[in-house]
Amino acid sequence: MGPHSGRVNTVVEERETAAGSIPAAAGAPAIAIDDVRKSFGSYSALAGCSLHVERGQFISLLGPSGCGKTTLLRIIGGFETQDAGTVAINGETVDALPPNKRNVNTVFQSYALFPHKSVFDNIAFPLAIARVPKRERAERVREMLELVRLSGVEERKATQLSGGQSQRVALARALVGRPEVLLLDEPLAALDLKLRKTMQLELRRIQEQLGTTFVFVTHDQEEALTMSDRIVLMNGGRIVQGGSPREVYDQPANVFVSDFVGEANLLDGVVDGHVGALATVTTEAGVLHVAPGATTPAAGPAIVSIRPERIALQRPGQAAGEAENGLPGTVERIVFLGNLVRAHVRVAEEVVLTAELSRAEADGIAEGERVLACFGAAATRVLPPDGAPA
Amino acid sequence: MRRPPILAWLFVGALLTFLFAPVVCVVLFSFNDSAAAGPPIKGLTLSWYREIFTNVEYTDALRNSLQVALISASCSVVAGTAAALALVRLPRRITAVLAGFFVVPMVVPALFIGVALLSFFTRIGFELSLQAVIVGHIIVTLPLVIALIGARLQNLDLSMLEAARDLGASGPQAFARVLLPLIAPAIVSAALLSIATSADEFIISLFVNGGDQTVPVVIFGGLRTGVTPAINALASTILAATVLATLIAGRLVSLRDVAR
Repeated sequence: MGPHSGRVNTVVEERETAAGSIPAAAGAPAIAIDDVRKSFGSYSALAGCSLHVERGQFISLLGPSGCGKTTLLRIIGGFETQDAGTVAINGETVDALPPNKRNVNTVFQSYALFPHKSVFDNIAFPLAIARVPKRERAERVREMLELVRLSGVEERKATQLSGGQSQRVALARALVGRPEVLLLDEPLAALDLKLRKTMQLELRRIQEQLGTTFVFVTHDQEEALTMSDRIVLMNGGRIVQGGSPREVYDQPANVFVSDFVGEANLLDGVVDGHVGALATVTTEAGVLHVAPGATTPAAGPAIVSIRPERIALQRPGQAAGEAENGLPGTVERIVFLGNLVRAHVRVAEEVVLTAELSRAEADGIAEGERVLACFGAAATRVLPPDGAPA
Repeated sequence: MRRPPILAWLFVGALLTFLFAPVVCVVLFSFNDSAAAGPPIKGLTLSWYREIFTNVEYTDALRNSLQVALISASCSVVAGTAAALALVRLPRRITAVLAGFFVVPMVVPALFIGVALLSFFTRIGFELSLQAVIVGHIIVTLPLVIALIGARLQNLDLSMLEAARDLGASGPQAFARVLLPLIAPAIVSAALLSIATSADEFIISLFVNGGDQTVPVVIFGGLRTGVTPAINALASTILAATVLATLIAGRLVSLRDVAR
């Protein structure tokens, strides 16, 4: 287990505790969002979201574009006003406060640096507004530049920076006022892949160093998995699931999560019986033995989700393994990914499973070959069919 | 097949002569030490300029023109900046339509505006005066200001204003510390172009001045008794003022911004 898995994760639905009148109580969550709704015209952007964020956590709001994650972030920042519901920061309700009265800062997707100001003046801007003495300003700007590892560019104009440098300046500017919570709106989207990977680790380091609560909006599941203590999945204006990266990956609450976080083979089927502690699901590819979990319907239509890396391929005649399931099929295509090999195996007329194999496991398996796609009952996750409540 | 470029040079030269010869003549003869407003050049003198800055008829006209230009430009810049700021906050579709309406006065003939204002002012009993001229010039210069400042705002990332608010600035602080410095060049250049337009505006000024004549109107009146060197000097003064204002304005905003 990772270093963060031991933390208690606040539950998404926890309405009564969000009493907005409590003044900055020590135990109050960094952010308490209670049944927030927002529509733009006839379009419902947020259909009732409740969320508690613990202090000092790095939390990602993850979802496809249009899922409402940015709207939720803008409501926390004070740039949009919700139609209903309340937002409290450190136990203090902020619904009536403009952005400049909230102890929350934002790193914008476009960075929104002031192009007519130098790097120093950009970072010192919040301090100048707050009338911090000049000497302290210089000191704090220097500290921030050290924190984001970008010294020696103080006098440069904001327009003379590279994308990565702009990113670091925007971060320093948002953090110099020591906000309670830092909101980040897809700040890495404009960077190239290599820089993005570096910045992911940098953001995490800075967050751990300062202990500030970070709320990070992204549509990139890998980014969310890399950085977060906790991932909150959003879809269609609702919060779908919240949990540690391991939880949302290993125990997705529904088909959307299973498909959005990582890759999944999804098989339609019907839950129709039991064999010992295992349930049986009849699918087009045959009867599967699955370990029932909280999301497994007692009977009736269901979707079985299997991660590609949980499927092993065996050639017929090879000694049978421990796996409860073995679906015969034909290897249709082998895709070489460098460190991994991905095999597409047709196990029924309409069903192709993707298996992710190590180079050693894939050794000797060729396209056109008959194989057995094997996976354990515990490797499966049975989910309610699309449209059914999670 | 190579033709000597001499023909091209001749053609370009002829066109330039056609365009600029009148201008050069007027400026040249405004320095001519002769009572005639044409050739020959008998010597150079500044006496015609001395005359336009001492003769009451001309000084009144210059003062009137200056007053009209400064007041109408100030009103247009304040109202136009506010309008441009309001326009970028509206939904894009509505902005496009409204921006079209704001530009219309630029293509409506000045003759039409002059006639319309004359009949309107007469109907409501508004005395024809410099104030009436100022109103007319605001109608002509306001669209210019909205177009210039609107173009500048279109090219700015307005999330900067949100960022300023986010970092603790109040609305007025965000405007003064972030937006204003960024649109200041456009504001100054809009003001200068408004002044140039107003100084040169003739038709509306002629229709509604009610006796308070601006420089172009005085020049027109003077022409009835024939062109004098003083008229040349007056025209050259207006030329210098408008060219200077336009050049400075051009340095402050790139024309590419406006063309977009």
